Amino acid sequence: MPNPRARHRLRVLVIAAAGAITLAQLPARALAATVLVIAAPGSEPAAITSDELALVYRRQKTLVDGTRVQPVNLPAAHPLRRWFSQQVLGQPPEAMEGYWRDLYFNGVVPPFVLASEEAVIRFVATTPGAIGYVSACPGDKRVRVLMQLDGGPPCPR
Amino acid sequence: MRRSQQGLGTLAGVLALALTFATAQAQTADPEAGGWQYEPGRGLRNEGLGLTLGGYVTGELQKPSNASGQARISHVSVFVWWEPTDAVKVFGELDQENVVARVRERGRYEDRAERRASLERLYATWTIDDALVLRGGKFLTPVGRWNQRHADPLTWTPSRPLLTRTVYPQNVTGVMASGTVAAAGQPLEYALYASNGAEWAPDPRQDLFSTVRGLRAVLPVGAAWQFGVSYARYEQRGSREPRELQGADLRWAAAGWEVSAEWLRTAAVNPAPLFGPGGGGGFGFTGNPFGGGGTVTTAAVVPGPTPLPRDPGTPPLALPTRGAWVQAVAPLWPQWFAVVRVERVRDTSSVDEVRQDTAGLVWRPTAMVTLKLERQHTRGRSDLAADAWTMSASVLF
Repeated sequence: MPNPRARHRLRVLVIAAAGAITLAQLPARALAATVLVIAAPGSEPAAITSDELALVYRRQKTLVDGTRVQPVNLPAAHPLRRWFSQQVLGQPPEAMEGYWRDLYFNGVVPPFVLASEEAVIRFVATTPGAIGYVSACPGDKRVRVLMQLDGGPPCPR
Repeated sequence: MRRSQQGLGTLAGVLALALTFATAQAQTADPEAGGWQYEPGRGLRNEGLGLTLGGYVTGELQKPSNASGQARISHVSVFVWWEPTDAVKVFGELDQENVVARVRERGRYEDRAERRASLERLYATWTIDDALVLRGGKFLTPVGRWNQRHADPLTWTPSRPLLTRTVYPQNVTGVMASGTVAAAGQPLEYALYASNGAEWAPDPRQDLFSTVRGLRAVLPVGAAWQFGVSYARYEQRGSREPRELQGADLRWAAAGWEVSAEWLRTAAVNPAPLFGPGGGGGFGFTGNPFGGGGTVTTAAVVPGPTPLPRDPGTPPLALPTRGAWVQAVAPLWPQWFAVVRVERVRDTSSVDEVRQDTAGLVWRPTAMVTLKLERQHTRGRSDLAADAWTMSASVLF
């Protein structure tokens, strides 16, 4: 007959593990609900593919659909930046440091970093060719959604 | 005694600078703010003027097994670029070698600085689109990965592989067409370049190109892999012999691990008896065998190729110069890495292989600060490199 104390411990361990797995998945699920690539109306490319987006954020592509683009990032520790970097560039921001060192040595700097999603919307809205990403449908017409990365419900027009 | 203190003091200064940067919080330039803004490791920028000023500084302590120890500020390199429009960029890099260099003699550090300012790069680019960028001026020879990323803060070891500093000139003054095109769904980077040998601010320690036509292509596969090929047909000023260069390189990097490798072969287009004045076209560099291209005290400065006397009985045929290196980097714990590199090179002038094995430890406390410790062991050509311990600190600013 199993020891009741051992069974209790096992139960606690299983619950804790399940809780940890659920918590670990929460940010990704929450972020995956809506991740939108935005640009200013009037100066944005007509369309952009995910491959092009990766090249733009690696500063290997400066023209999309004939439009000169300027990508902006969130801070490296921001959960949305981390999700975006992993999904679009295939690596977390810290793994890109060597890449940016190489490019800086050759006269190329990484995308600008803005402190918040609101700052991204404000910068993109006022800068021709700027591209950024946010986690919620923008509530005004200052920016246009270029692409939805996660397959979630489309933003209302 | 006083000089000894100065020698150590200069290195301590570089270390202090490195640690200051290491503990500094990286700040982000605000694109909406005007004027000059500085971001560590990203330079001093003025968005309005389109001007960026950056660079790096490296200090080294070195103890060759057969020579005196050295302390030096090996490189103070400044690069500046100006983008007056979206399509035009002017880029320049000036490197001051051995601002301070002291050699330990009879318990004292003597001043042995052979200061030298060199124009590493100066070119203008015109971006027609992402697939075609035209460049004219002096630039780093696009052969392999290392030569175009040779700066100390970018590399894992204080020393360069022999292949990247002895087989071909490290700079070209000429024209280049480069760009990124789609190939099998991947962004293929290419560069086509040519020069008639009119080198700007030539480095007398190198046997420079008198003519060169070359290409390089790099194909990334996924986020982890990168494959490159290099080809050039060229003549050098010393040998005046048409030669071909073929190279291949790869890099794999994931989760802090990295493996990179480079293979290179050069050979005479029309093989002929080699020996006589200026013949050979083999190893042509006779500068400091330890550093990344600098020179302090260890060898005479002799321009042009200096092939070694051949072994008796060697057939009078032009042997190709060929070699390869493989380097592996392993993360030990956060910010600490172990590095191992093995290299084998065979020169036209000698049937013996040069073997160089390197092991090191790297600490990268931040993205712009790198401290390295290296042990290098060389067999075959002591004039090219000797066994040595090297410690370096470099800061990208």
